[in-house]
Amino acid sequence: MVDTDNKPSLEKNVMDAIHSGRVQMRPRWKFLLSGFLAALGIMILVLTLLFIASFAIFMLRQDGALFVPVFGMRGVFAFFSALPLVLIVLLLLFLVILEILVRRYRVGYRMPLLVSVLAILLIVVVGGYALERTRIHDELLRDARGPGGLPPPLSIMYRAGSQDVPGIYRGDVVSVIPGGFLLSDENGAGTTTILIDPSTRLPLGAGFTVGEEVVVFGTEASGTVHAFGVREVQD
Amino acid sequence: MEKETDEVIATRVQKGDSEAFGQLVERYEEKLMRYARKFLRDPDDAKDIVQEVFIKSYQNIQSFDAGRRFSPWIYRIAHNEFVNAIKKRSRGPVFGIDLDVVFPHLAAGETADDVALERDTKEILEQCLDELDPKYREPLVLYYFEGLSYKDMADVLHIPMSTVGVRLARGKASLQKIAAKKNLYG
Repeated sequence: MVDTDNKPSLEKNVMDAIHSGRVQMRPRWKFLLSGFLAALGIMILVLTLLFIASFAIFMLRQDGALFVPVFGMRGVFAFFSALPLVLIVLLLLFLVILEILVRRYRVGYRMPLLVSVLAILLIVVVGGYALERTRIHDELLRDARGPGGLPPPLSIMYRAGSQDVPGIYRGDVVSVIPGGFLLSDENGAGTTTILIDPSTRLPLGAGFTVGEEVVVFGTEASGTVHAFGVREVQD
Repeated sequence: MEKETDEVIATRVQKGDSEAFGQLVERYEEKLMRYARKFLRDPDDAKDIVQEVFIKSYQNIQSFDAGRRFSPWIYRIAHNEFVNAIKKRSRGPVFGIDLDVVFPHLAAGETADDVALERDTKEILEQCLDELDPKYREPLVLYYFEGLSYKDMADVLHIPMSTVGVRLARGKASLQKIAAKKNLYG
């Protein structure tokens, strides 16, 4: 096992290193453990992503922004401007980490990066929406406001609550008036006058009844909102 | 007697028969040396790096899944070692951000050249390897000299199969340009 140039052959070098114990096989359990930890990491990341996405959808629902895209381009812009930026940045950060982990596996690297990112994003958005519909966040919000509270960072997240998005008003119809209705404020302390005209978009019809929860999209001037669109909230 | 498959020998090594690893070294030494010489373009380094590939393979043999093929597994280790060696030499990113991996491409089926064309491509490739970008040199070497399938190349390079096709096509186009400049088409 000697090369023509009198150097020991590669095979001899390798086998000598193995026989002398200089090179040792890493035990199987180390690979199993690292595989298990990677799988656990992926699972935790997916669950975290689902939770963040569902919380973002919950916040958008709470402040009414989730309902305004049906009012046309203006509504779509209002929706995007109401997106919780901190949550979106967190979502993207975790998405990148998840993508890096997933690309170690055949199912990840065999897919073009764009397809795999979009697939994860779709799973997160659809899964997040489904999770949000389980009312888990309503219960957590109730717990956060209750006497026991919630441990941080959940307490901070829920106490921060929904943001006031300019132009979007969510509340109950207190009374129907000519040309509109009175809407209860978020804290229930007062009312806002909502004016409807023929140009107001009413995707779910105009028959508002007292006690009905609605989202109004419009501009406010001297305590009166001229509505571009009004829709009933169907929870 | 029927020859043992690489996977059977690898399983024996996993079970503690370290002598059997010698058979794997014997089977892959020539292949990996050829891959190293053609991809690294530095025959002095090739032997040391291939030796390191075998040592890493032995150390990590327990991570080999005997239900899969051994060849792409050891070529993957070799690919990583070779890319690291090129990185050390160039002190910069070898491939950088690769848009070929980002966007989906039309499914690139295995387009085997006919025998004569393959022989011509191999001869031209041999003479132009130095001038090819490593990003295209490697798939061409794996395909034409090592005879790896698209599927195996995808597993070695950790890229989608369609990207393998794109890189081979671009590599061949680049090869043609270089060959034309060198007047190799006669």
